[in-house]
Amino acid sequence: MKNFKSMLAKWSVMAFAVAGLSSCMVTQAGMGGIYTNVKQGEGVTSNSRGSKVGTSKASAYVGIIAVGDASIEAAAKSAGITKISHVDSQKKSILGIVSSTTTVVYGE
Amino acid sequence: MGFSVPAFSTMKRLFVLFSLLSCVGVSAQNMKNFYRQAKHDEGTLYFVLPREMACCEAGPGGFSGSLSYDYTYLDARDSVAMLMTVATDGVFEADSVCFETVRGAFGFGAEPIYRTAGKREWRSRLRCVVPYDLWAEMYRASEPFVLRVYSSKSGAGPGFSDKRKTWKKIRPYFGTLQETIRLNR
Repeated sequence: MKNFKSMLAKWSVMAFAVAGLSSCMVTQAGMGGIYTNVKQGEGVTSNSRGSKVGTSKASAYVGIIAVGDASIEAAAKSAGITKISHVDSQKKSILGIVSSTTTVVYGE
Repeated sequence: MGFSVPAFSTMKRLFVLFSLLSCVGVSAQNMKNFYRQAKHDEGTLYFVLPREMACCEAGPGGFSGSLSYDYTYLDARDSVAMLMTVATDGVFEADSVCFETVRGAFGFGAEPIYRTAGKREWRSRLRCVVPYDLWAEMYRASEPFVLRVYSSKSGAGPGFSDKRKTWKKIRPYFGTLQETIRLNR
């Protein structure tokens, strides 16, 4: 029982540490220790708002494996956007165990 | 009267509590994680975030694969742009798609955006434009539609469709979105 308690405490601390120290998960609104689901703006240009929307995504698991491509380039490419008007992102995290960053690009 | 709770039981309860709290944001029907809405010079722009559809039937040429798709709708144009990434186990130059619905089959040209090679598959990113009325009707049906990709060089390709369980889950989301579109026109 002591071992389980010790292991659970260590995993909890690690999960919170990973979530807190993971720079890609820090949002303008801060970060939730248990649950994060924040949308925020990343950038804007002088191009007029287009009718195309593209996304790209990267995910991380248990703070051990992180994969994907959440770049603006990948998001623009996914919709065939050549003139970007603005970029948003959405960052999600559950207990620091499963995290993701989605980039949303608007343009023409 | 004393009452003692074992330490293990307390830790177990805390763990269950944390797990339940983490489910709160995940299981509830959350339209904010389903689509985005934005003002546009020509009206209102709606974007359904990417989803996946399972391969229900391999093509006659033996091609099978996976499909992820998203929708963009600008109410002034009254047509829905469907962007899809078709991953096939071989080179498949898709250039048209067919929606097999309860009302019949509807074919549309698909414009290729890019093609790229993955580790074990080829990915084609395609765009096709579907009339809004047809798109809305497809998601009002009780049965899921089948999306089949075609190539003028290779013939019929794989077919994709939502599983019934998934269809029952996502139909209300699309219904709410269509109601939102109607209210904002």
